Amino acid sequence: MGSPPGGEPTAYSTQTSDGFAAEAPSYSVTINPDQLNTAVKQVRDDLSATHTAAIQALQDAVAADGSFGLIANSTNMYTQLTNFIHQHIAAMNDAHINSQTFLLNVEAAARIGTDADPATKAEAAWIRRHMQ
Amino acid sequence: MAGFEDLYEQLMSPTPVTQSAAAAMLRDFATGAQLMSQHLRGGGRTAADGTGDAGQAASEQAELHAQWFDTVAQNAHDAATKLDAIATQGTTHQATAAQAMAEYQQALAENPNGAQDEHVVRVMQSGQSSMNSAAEQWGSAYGSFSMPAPPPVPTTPNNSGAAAPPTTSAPTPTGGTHIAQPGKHGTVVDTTPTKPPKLGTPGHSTGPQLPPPGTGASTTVGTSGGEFAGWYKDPTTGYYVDPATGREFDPVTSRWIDPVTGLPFGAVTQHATHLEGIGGPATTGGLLSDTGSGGGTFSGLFNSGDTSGVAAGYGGQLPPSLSTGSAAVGSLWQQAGRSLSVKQQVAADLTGREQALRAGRPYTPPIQAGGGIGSLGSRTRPGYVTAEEDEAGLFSSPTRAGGRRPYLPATQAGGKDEKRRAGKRPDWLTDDDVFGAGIDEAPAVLGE
Repeated sequence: MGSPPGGEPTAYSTQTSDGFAAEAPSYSVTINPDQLNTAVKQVRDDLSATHTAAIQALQDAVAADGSFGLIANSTNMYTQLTNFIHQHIAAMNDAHINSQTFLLNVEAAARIGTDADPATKAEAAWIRRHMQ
Repeated sequence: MAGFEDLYEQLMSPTPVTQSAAAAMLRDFATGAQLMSQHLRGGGRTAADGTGDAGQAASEQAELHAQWFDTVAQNAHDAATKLDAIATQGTTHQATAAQAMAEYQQALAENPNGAQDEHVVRVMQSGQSSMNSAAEQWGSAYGSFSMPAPPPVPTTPNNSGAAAPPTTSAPTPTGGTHIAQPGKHGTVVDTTPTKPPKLGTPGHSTGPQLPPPGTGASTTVGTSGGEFAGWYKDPTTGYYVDPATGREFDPVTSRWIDPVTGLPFGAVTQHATHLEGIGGPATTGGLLSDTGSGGGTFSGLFNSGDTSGVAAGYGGQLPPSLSTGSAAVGSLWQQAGRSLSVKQQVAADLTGREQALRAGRPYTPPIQAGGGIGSLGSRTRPGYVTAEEDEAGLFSSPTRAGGRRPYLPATQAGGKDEKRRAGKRPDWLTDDDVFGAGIDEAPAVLGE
């Protein structure tokens, strides 16, 4: 099962084969510094991608494609709104504030607001009554 | 000045209801900032209580950040209000465009043999002028729209290198506290917009959740409208307009609208405005009774002077302008029929667009689907549609050699398949539309 804490850092597999979970020890390997750096980079990239996706989702909600149509100065609308999002996220990062947490709060507020909206409830009730 | 067709397409290309959803998201952005502010202050108080000078410094820093978020919240809220105003303004401009197109098409329908060419051109020029004005106003509103820049970021002791790194607490959705460590470990975010604008192509897959009908910049009456759910709400008058007949109802006074005078008339109509106990609209009588006449249209009843049929559509009472018995009553009936045809087409066009947007599918105008205009006479291509050179500016289609070419507005330019559908009930009235009036299928409810 590898070294006890205090010894060499060891990585353990969280996967177990069917039928052997109870009797076989999990796979373990002593951590190699190069492997660790690579793994950390991969995790960091994954987190960054998630964060970027969250920002993109917010941008899509605020400045949806085609929302402003072919009217003159529609690009100004799009640019103003997308810049608003990105500039604030950048400012939070500059201030060392966790923008990911902020984005979670925004998304949570949107979900709560929609779920609690009387119009949403009425819509759901109407669908239940007439579509089932 | 752009051509009639171009202006119509231009004004119909935005989706104000999506802008309304964006404004709601900006308000959620403000709420997110408020939550951050509250938690920062909470964390600051905790730090100030127990850790001496360091705790006091952290508390002061948290307060600065909280104030920053307060400003962000106010800015986002103000911007949402401005965006909402633009969305509301947009619904009015689209109503202008839809009306111009409906009036033009009615003029076309009334000109089967080209005898009224001048009238058709006048209607088109008038519509072009009003649409041009609307496009200019809308573009001007877009041009002057500006979002506030972020307030100056509070400087931290870490940034100046003069003190120990502060700790900033931030909330998590579960109510816990996350400690964000300053320094080089923060996530680097690419602040460059990753998607260029794709104008004129409404996005559905990644777009915002649209507000329910009847809210925001939606021009479709929602479930709070009871039996009128699925009707069009005129953004100018506030009246509900039946997309199947063009009848108007004033929800404020609960009375029908006279199609000639545009004023409410008659007794207050008893109708249900709440969801509970409501089925669908009536089909055999009552408030939303069947307004067809042997397969014809409601506006067609006006041409034949069918007093009982028309009265049935208005809760049993004939609009006062049609019951005067004066010498002009004949032209008033005709005027009422025209008015209803235009209103019906505007309502059908705009509710159809919104329903298509909600369903995530492209919109096909139901203009040829046995509507009121068709009842005014069989439609043949009038001579004037082969435009002279000096009329070419009215059209946006490329001209043939010699400056004469056939013209059909985009909304009517279809192939044989589309013509074959004429007379059929458009599928948008029944397909994918949980808010539709459902006149064909729903059980009777009121007034029987």
